[in-house]
Amino acid sequence: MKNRDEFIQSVWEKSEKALAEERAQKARRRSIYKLGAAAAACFMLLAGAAGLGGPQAVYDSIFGVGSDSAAAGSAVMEGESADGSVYDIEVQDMENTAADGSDDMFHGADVYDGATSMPSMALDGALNLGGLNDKELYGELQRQTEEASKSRDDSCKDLMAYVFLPTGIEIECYGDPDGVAMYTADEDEIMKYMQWFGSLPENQVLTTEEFNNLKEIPTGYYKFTMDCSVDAETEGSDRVFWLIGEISLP
Amino acid sequence: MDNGASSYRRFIDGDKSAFEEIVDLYREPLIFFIYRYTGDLETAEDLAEDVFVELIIHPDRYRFRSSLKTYIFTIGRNKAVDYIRKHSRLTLVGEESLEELADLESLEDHVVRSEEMRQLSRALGQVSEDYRMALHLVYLADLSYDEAGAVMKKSRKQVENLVYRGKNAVRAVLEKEGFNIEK
Repeated sequence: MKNRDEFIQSVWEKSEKALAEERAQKARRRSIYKLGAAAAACFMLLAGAAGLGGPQAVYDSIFGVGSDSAAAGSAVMEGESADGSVYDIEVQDMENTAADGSDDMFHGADVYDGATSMPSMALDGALNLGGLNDKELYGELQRQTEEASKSRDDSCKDLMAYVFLPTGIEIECYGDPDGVAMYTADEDEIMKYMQWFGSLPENQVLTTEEFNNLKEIPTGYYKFTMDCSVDAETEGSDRVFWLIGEISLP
Repeated sequence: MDNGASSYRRFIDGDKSAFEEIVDLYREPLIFFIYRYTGDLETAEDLAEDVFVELIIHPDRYRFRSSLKTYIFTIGRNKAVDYIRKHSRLTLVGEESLEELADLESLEDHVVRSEEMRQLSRALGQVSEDYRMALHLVYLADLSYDEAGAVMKKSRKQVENLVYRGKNAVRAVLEKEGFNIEK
């Protein structure tokens, strides 16, 4: 074991290294985050379109009076590229989107305060979501998206921006018999904060332990709760994220 | 006694030496606590370093509304659990070296002040993890039930139950070893 001075020396060395790594990662994230926040809002817009009075109503509730394109009947919102230029993201008309409403993909009673069924989500290459008519779900997701938009320094909230990003960001998945985690650039950061509750396509909800004991990690949709527990002050501030995509083993 | 919170505030305000006060307060108890999870002293020390690194690089995460001690032990627990999760497939089976045993005894001597507590500490190795953690936090790390609950992510009531059942389990262990334990 190190003596006291050696221990302190080691702590300072590790801190300097960690700070240097964080600075480098933040520089990378900044360009990705801008696109992520816009896309997350886009996701929310599409999610609400089916259940909340159509694209225009949702758009107006978030962005106020719409643009010319919105007035013409197809809602748009603006995204921001990494270089700061603004572009229009066209909202897809969700009314005719076939949604797999036959199964509840997720059990939400333990998370969504009494919501006993979750709408299922179908994944296409782009944002093609349908059947989201659970207002509580929408409200919760919107609240968390807004939180993510407010902060750039909290790595828990940064993670949320990644998760919601439907396209354009590679979400790497790491699976082994111990469990599955998602990570992007900062593997250690994400492994640190995440706990998993897996949901099999057959609608089973597993505890983390059961999930970790799975011999295979099936592809499908997963719900997980992120426990921002490093800050003991906000203990219990679990967030729920929807994974848009599939988890496949490397 | 503010468990080092004022030292941390001074450190955040620029007094680098104040950080060493926090290390002096928590280095050994923290290593000892993390050791309960990892079973390996070197790893426990490494993870304890990482806890202090968190204090340095993320000072904004502690809001000075709860005990710094609880905060530090919570980070320690999380790091230990994550380490175990990552390395659970790597089961290192082996005997501790004489040097490690000596280090552990010395650590225990510094952290555990009385012979009775030393007996408890040794018996803890033979009870379940939840009992072990609850008893360690309450009796060896001197956390309140609420604080221990915060570290273990359990309610106060759950911690009370764990301590109660843990004590019974430890009692059984000690009685098996020939100690007469008064209830």
